Amino acid sequence: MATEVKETESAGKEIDFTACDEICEKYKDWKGATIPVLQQVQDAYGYLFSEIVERIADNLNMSAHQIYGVITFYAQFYTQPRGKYIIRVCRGTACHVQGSGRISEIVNEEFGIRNGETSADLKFTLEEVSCIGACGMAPVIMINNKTYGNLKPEDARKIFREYAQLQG
Amino acid sequence: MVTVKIDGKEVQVAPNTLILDAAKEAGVTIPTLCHDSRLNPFGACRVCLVEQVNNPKLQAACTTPVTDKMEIITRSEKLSRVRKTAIELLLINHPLDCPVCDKGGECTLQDLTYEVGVTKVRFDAKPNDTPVDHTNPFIERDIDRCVLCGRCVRICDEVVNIQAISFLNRGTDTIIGTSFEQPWNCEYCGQCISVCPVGSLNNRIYLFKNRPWNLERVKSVCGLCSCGCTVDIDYEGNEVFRMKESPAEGINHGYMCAKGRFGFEFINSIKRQSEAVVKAGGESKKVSFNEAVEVAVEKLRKVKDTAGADAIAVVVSPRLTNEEAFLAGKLAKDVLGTSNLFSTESEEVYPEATLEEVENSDCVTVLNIDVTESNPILGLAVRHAARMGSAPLAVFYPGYTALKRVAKKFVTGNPDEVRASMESYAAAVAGASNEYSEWAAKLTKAERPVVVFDPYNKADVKIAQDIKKACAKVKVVPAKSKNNSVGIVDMGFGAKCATEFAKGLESGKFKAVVVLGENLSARSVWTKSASKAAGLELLLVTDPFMSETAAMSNVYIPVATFAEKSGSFTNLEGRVQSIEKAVDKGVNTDACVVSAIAKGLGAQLPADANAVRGMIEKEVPLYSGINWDGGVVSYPYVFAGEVAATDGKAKGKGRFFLYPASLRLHSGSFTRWSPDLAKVYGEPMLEIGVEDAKELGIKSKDRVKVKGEGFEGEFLVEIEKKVSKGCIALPEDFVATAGIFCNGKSLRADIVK
Amino acid sequence: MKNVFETIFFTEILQGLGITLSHMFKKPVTYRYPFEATPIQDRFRGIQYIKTHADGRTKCVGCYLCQKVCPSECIHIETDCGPNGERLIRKYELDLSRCIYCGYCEEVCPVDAIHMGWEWNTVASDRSGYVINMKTLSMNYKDNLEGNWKNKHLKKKLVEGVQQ
Repeated sequence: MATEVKETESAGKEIDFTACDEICEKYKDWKGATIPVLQQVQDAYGYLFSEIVERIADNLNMSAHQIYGVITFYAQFYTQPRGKYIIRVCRGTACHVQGSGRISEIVNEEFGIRNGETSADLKFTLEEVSCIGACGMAPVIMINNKTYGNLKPEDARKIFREYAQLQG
Repeated sequence: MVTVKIDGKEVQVAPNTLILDAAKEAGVTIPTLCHDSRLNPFGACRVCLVEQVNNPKLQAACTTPVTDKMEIITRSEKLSRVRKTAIELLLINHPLDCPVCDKGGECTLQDLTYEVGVTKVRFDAKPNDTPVDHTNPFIERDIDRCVLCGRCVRICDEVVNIQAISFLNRGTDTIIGTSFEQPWNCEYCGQCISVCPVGSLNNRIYLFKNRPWNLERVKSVCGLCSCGCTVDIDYEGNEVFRMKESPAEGINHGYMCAKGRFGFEFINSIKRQSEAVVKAGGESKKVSFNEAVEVAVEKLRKVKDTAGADAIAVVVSPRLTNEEAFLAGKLAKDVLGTSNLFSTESEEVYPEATLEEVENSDCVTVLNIDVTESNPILGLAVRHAARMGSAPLAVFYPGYTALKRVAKKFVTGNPDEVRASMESYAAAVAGASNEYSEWAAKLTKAERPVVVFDPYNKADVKIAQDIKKACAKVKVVPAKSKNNSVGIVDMGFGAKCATEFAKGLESGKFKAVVVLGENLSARSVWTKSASKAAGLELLLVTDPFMSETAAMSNVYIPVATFAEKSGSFTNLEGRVQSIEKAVDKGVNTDACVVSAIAKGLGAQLPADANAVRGMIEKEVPLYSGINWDGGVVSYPYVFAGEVAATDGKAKGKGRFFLYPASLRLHSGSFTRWSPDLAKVYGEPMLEIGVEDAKELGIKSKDRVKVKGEGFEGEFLVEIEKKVSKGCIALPEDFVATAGIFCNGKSLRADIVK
Repeated sequence: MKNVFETIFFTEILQGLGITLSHMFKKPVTYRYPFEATPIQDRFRGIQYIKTHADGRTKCVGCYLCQKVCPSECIHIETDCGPNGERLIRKYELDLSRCIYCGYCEEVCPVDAIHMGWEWNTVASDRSGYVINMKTLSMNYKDNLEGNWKNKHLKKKLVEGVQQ
């Protein structure tokens, strides 16, 4: 839902393709350069939207459909805009037993987003991940690169509200 | 050579042969689902698993190469269990809607299910229920039925090279689709339909119309462009239901294009005429075939007696068979005694290279023609050479074509720039040193270079001839346009220049004109003088449809299309191929018309194709002893003589360069009668680049006026990314545009809003 | 001696007359056709009917299997693609004068649409009346549902037919 708003906004705007063109130029004659190009373009633009994929396809002399196939194959590429803070809620066995499902629900209550979705203000993205290797601290979440463990539902809510009040 | 034992049978095969091919050699069939011999091995379905003695692991026969002394077992209890499970797993998500599925009866999955004996699926069936995709005008896509064998994706990538569809997502979510779920737009060649083993991709023209077991099949040759593809015509009663590839057969290896696969409906069109029309004193009357012939004969006799035989002209269309063209020539020369034989074709250029030679070439140059649209199967051969054989491909064309993706060098610009580039390229081949020297060296160093060019553009012919002269090993492919463009020339209809006929009409030299299948108004060389034909003593027109010329005629006789007659076509390689009669629509063939007229004039000409063939073999030296089923005519020369240097510069004044666009699905002359092709591309569209359109403030589907020296016309706009800046393009053979391109192939024009 | 006795007293003839006499008091096994209908067994194979959905749409999907399996080639189907890309039955014709009532069509039908009914009276004044289409076949289903065929409909129609 949030993404639809973004898309209509971007549709009217002129997109600056210079960064994309530069990246493509660098890798033009390489074979097997699709993934590095996509990674760098995603870094530059935040996510991969249809106009930029078309542009990459034109520059690399490929088909946009083929590139889209690559994008959807890898979890590292996003076709939807991403929030500033990425909340990763661990849904591994240990965390599940400790009630991580409830934390996901709190994210939904606070920001109205479910797994894979981004809030309308582009601040938060919720990702439910399988394990982040900190089962000792279950239930555990990560917000960007910061880890919070041994959470109780209300602790988690407090943390989310803190992030929500940060400037942005 | 290595020796392998397959089910106890020993065979000797080349090293690295796949087990599947070795088994074929041994006469053992291994069931397959995702395999296609024309594509790279994929190994997705695991149906072809075989046992190897002393190897506990099962091997996929379609991906594993053989080794020496290998022993393979293809039928065993274990294997049938494994195959059965593989099919059962596929059936979990496959909806069991065979009764409504168009593929029912010719479905590989259905056959395999019977073969391995799946009567019940042991797993919980979870058929998907996604809506059917109808965004493609010719292809129905039901992703629920998809078994992800990848054949469509692979053929679109490896053969067609358009990559219009791709695997999306991963794991159990994988589907075949387009980027960002855009509507499916492509070349519409339908290769993906032909390889789909299930009913996931269906032909929308044939959709739900019939069942394969009801259809009778005749192997014939497609009668649309000059590639001469072997096709299967499927019919029931007197209706053609589909035209389909003959699997892996013919010069086209079982590939077809949008025109051939989806454009056949004109055969069944309700616009087909069934009765002859005679016009007398401004009144047109429907008459029988014999009456129409009588009128024609009487008028021919009258003109011959009063004005002499030289006042009679015979014009044939390149749609006729060799036999019919020969008969028409016989009628003109022997019966009527005239030497006025005309067609749009000329004998200036003869075919040289075969499609196989193009495929196996090691350096291909395409001069100023969009072969992927005008001759799609030749386009596939060029792509094959450029991609599979990795031959360097150089393309010269104003605006990008579908070959851009495989071309190593693509020279674009406005037509004048492209012409200059081609000229310097030809000069570089001849030894001059310029910016194209590097590319010319590739051509001169190659062992089997091929040059494809447009034989209808004098300036291009000149360049091709220069290249051929400088480098004798170059084989040229004149990309002729119609199914028998080459054949009618062989039958004597290329000796006289087409402009002579126009002059004759203008000057009033001709009193009686017999037009067999041609539409004078849609040919740029004749369109200006076509109106003069209306006032002739006799204008006899034969055409399956009431074309513009037929409407002007005073005797009109409806005739058969290529699916309703036997005979032969000569394709752009000079290969003679037989066509077979499939259906009967109750109209006569051109051969019958010619034979009846001859009879009326007191001469005997046979209408039967076989009898005519005997005459051709005797009287046409090129065809003596020819194999009528695939024999290649050996021509005495490629270029008739030194082509005069023409000024290829764009004529007139104006902001834009106007050039004939590549055909979009159809050229507008004959295939426009196909309702399905016309639905997608109904009227000539003006192609303009994105930047120019923005500058002029033109939007897609706007109507604009194109004005140049001596012509004017209003067209729908189509904004095309591929068109170069400062250029506009229009299709050539539509009646509305023929009047423009009679001024030249490269023009300048202005756009008036 | 016995022979003489039998010859004198016509015992065999009397026996025969006795049997005749006993039958005079039994119910007849014949039916007074056409004034009376024969009873129809449950598995009788008569004129076909095609089931419909609750909303009246036919259950038939036009798969052509009955046409294919029919040994007397009495079924003719024409299908086409509908406006929304659905399968559309343009024509479904069954020629009763060709039908041999073998019931293969019922057996082969994958969607349980065509069935053999109980009606067997196909009297018509000319041959064109023998070709029935989808509409009639669906109507037959309704008749069948209401039990008309098995009971009153049959009797009534027959008598009417004869009286005419």
